[in-house]
Amino acid sequence: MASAMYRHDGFQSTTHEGLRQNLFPMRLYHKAKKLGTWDPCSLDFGKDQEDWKKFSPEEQETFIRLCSLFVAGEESVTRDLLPLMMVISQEGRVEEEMFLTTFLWEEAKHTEFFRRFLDEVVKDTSDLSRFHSPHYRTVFYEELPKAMFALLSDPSPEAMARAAVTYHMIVEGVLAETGYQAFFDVIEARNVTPGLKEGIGLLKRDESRHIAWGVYLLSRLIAEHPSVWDVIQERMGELWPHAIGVVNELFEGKPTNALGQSLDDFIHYAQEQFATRMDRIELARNKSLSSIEQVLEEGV
Amino acid sequence: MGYEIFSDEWARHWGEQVKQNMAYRTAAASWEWPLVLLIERDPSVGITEDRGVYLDLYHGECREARAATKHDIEQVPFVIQGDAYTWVEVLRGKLEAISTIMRGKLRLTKGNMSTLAGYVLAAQELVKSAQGLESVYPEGLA
Repeated sequence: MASAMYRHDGFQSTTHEGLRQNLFPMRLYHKAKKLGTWDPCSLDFGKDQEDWKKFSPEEQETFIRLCSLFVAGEESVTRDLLPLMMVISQEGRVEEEMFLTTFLWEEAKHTEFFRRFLDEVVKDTSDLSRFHSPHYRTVFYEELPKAMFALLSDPSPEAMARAAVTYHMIVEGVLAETGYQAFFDVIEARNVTPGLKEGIGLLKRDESRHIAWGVYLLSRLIAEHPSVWDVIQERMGELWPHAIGVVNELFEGKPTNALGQSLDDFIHYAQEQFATRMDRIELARNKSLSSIEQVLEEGV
Repeated sequence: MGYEIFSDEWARHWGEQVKQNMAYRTAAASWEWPLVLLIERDPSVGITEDRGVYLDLYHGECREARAATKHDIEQVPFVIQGDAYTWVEVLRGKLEAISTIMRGKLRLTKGNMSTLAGYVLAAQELVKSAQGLESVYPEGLA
């Protein structure tokens, strides 16, 4: 990029426009300030440590496996978000950039949260990448960073859409959210590890804002560039085999795992969430962004 | 010359395409169930009754493809159905097949989604084979 790009001709916040408080990303920003300020260090893992000793070796193994997927996933979304933030910044979308400052900070806290659980409850400092199965590696080691860092050289709407589908729709919207919900349900039903449960509950709330922004971004891209819809379809097609593959690898061909989580429940929950979001995104195919802002607002 | 989608001739040509699809053969190596794909009745686009395609798929082979009978629909373990608009969008590549099933726009009305989920690539290859056909679409959706 030419160095001439690295200057500001003015600042939106000093114009008559100020900050557009009614924009959807700005509303998410205000929610994040209220709801996203929890501290992973303040969670009490005392009862979790007692519960951990009572788990069977198979249950402990499943806990560690899940945490190894979650912690690396959170680290990945922390490390891979910056190129998208740079594009948003370069486009001068200050309200979206303000929301993204909360987004990145929250992803960092999620990484910290799972690592703290592994350090203080599981007390496992071994190399947990042994749990990272082939499809998981394809998604988190290859496809996610590739799609995100491609934006450094190609900030086109099509590249943005590929990145957003990968990050928001598949990684956050299908894998993370479904995994967290299933984990949360098991912990709640068994009334164990309250610190972990509290953290996952807070984390899920953060993720819902992140995914909402992803839906907004994709809707905006479609409203501004209708051909982006085809790119989204194509990217979904590329990623589904790996996304479903991660879930299938987790269950190793069995209908349930050692914690009693069900593959059917996983798939069913993922379907419901995915359907709702894609329906909202599809609305943008023939509408202006302003007309769909209200729909998105209702979904948060 | 093209064939009307979900007609018997179209189904048989689809079966021939599937037989030549090596990627399908690999992805469906352990799939062993026949299925019916159903397009729902919609007189407004010229489809006056439900139409189904019966595919007898076994370990990567397409053993038979033809128009489905009511008996087929009762007997097969998997039925996927949807409206004409959705099927046409999938066949034209405007909607991605797995996303469309996950969204419930194409509905698995018979069978287990978790089993089907193990064959995402195979399903995509089946659709690719159909997309390679010269298809005639219903009036109003052509």
